[in-house]
Amino acid sequence: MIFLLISIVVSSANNFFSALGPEIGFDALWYHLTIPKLYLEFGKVFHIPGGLLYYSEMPRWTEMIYLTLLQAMSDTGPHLVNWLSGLGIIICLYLISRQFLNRIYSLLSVAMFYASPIVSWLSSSAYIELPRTFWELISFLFILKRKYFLTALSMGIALSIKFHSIGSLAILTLIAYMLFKNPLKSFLMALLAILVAVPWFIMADLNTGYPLYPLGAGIIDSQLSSSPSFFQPLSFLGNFWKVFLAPDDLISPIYVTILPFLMISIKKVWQKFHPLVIFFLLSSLLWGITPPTGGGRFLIPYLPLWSVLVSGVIFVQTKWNKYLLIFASIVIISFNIFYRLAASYRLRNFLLGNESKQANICQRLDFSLGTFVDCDGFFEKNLSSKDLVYVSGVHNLFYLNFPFVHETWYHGQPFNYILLQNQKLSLESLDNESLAGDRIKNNRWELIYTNNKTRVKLYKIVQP
Amino acid sequence: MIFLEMLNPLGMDFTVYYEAAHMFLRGLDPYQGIFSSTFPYNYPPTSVFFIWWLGMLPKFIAGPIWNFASLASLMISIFFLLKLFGQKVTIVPFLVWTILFTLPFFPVKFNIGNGQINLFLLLFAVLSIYLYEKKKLNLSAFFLSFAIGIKFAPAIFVLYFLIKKDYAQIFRIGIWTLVLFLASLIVVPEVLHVEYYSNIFPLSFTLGAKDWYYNQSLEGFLSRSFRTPWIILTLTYIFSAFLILITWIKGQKTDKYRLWSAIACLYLIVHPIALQHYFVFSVIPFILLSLYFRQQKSGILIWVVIIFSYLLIAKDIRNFHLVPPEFRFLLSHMFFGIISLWVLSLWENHSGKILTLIWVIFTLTAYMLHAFCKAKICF
Repeated sequence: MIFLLISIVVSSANNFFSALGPEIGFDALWYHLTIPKLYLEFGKVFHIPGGLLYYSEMPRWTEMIYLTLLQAMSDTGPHLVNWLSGLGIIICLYLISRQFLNRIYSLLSVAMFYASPIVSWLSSSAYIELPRTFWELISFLFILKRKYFLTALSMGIALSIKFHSIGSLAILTLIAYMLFKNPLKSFLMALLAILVAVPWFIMADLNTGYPLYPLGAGIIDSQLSSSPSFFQPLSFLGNFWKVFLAPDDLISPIYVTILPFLMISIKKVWQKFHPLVIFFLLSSLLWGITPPTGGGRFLIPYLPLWSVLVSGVIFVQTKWNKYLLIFASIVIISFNIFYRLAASYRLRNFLLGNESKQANICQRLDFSLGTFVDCDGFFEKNLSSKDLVYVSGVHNLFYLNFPFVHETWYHGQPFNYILLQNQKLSLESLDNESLAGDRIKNNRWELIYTNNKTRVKLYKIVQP
Repeated sequence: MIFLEMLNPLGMDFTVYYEAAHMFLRGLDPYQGIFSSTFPYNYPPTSVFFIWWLGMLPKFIAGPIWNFASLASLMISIFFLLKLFGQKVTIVPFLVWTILFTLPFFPVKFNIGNGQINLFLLLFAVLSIYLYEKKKLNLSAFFLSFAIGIKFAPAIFVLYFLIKKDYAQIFRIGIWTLVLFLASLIVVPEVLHVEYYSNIFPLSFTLGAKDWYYNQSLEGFLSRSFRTPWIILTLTYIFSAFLILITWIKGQKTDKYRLWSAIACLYLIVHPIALQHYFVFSVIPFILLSLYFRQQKSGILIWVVIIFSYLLIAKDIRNFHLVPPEFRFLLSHMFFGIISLWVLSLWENHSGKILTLIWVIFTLTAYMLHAFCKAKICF
């Protein structure tokens, strides 16, 4: 028990210090932080057209929270939101686990989940998986206590964070019905949850004419067509194996290790933990039919309850298996914590004030992915609030701290600088392709800055 | 269907034996390369006592004889393994076992298709076991020595006599091996002996081609799991020694049929390069364990393990080069099958505990190795 408590405290402390570090996550720099930053700069919540920030019409409850914190705390504010969400999750997880298991096994569920590298990373990032997971988990806690109204509100907020929660809502509704056999209340609960999230879809419909924009709008459909396909069992099993044992985002192997034990002791597990077994089966199905664009992150909302199930499976085992699995869990938890401590060690110079934020980011980012950072301060020194930069080839805009207009939403603004990154490294490639082509063709431009590390070029208009 | 083509000489490996036999009979050196290939003959000079007759026949006659003798060796081996339990061997079980180890069983099909020698080795090993249990000790020693003379690896079966403290039998095997060796000095020039032991034999202990899919030994599994040569070799030696030690310790109190099975499994596990056609030797543990556990009226777990091991060993992956890197462990399916049989042989009803331990260690190790490699520390 002491080991489990210590591991949770150490993970929490490590995550807190990591949360003080600068953001380098791709999706965070792409839209989770950029969208609220644009809202702040323009002083309004608005539709961002074009093919870059198409997620600006999806439910973005968490981004609204980020908006209130960005001004005062920059990216640290959103990081702390995620850190707090992580703490909220483990509290809910413990309370849910206690409905089924004793204190030690409940702490085991918590430690197993919270020590995962992916949870640790998300706790110090500006993604949205943890806030979503928190609200989904608290709704599960509410439904166990038959609080339908609170369940609906919580699930409504989860749905307002990410549309994928619709699947979790379906599972929760089914479990509520199976537990309490009240179809009317289960249905009304689901309906209320959807109503809570409806304003986001109304907004999307008003702005784009389609409430589920960009899903099915022809913008990201090619990504969504590469589904892992639950309907090809071998492929599904292979993906399940890969996401836990050879993943891009490290989670924990325990969810694969436990499977033979689950199968062997399914009768005993079902007797004590059947809501969790149902949840596991349905959420696996849901994961199996979700396009794999998010990697292991898409499993995060399900992992807390899977962790409770894992503890439950361990609980019902015979002595040898029990001790073996507990030992394995301790080894995994310890390994994962040390792994994340080693990752956080890279932030030590920044946290101690020996390194600037800029320097830290510029060391760690991969600029080939289209993130812009003003590594040498050139833009800060040479651009003013009266300038306007036309940006092309940059994908992740969060660190642009000067007035700019991106090629995807340009509609005739008079820019006097052109910033190019990566493949768009020549004006000639822009002339004919872009909407800004006329302005580029009708003026002379002077190359005033090149940076091979950040892969950018900056052109300035030559005044006649 | 390979069994329909047995009237023709089959496989490059048969050509190696055939041409080596011709070269031995003519006093030529097959260790510099055979007639049709620069690849050397890689069996010891004592193997000439088994292959010499190939050099007396044209290939179109020698080939079919070799093929049918190979198949007959399998069937005779099955017969003697069944007879080992003291019961009358009736036609139906004999046919069932023969079918199980022919039509769907890749190691036998591969063996015959390549014109390989392993079914003959299986026969000599089984005869040695059978004759030993029937107290025909000299004949038993002779057959085991003969097998050792063809390929050194069957020497692992001496472990049985060490465990049972039958030093007299070890002595007999030693004498017969010495006799064969001395006889080979008469018929094969000394220079060829020197060449084999100094140039050919050491190749078994390098890492060349060990990560080949067809190599289903422990070393093959480790070669596919790690990238660093010294780690592969070190782990191979450590785990091989560990497995032999465990077999020794557990074997002291193990029933003889299970111990024979365990050692037959060891033959495949610790062999530096146990290609898939070597796994015809798994016939020994499959039959002995099945008959033993049927006699004991063992629980369902035993049968699940046996059936699962059979499926892992009987099948092969045709397009193995298409297997993604994160699933390379699947390429060691035969290794997993034979390890399961080894565990079953030594732990019987407690096999479940050991197999779960292996599973847990395997999943944790796979995860940690991947995590280290993501942090740019690849082994």
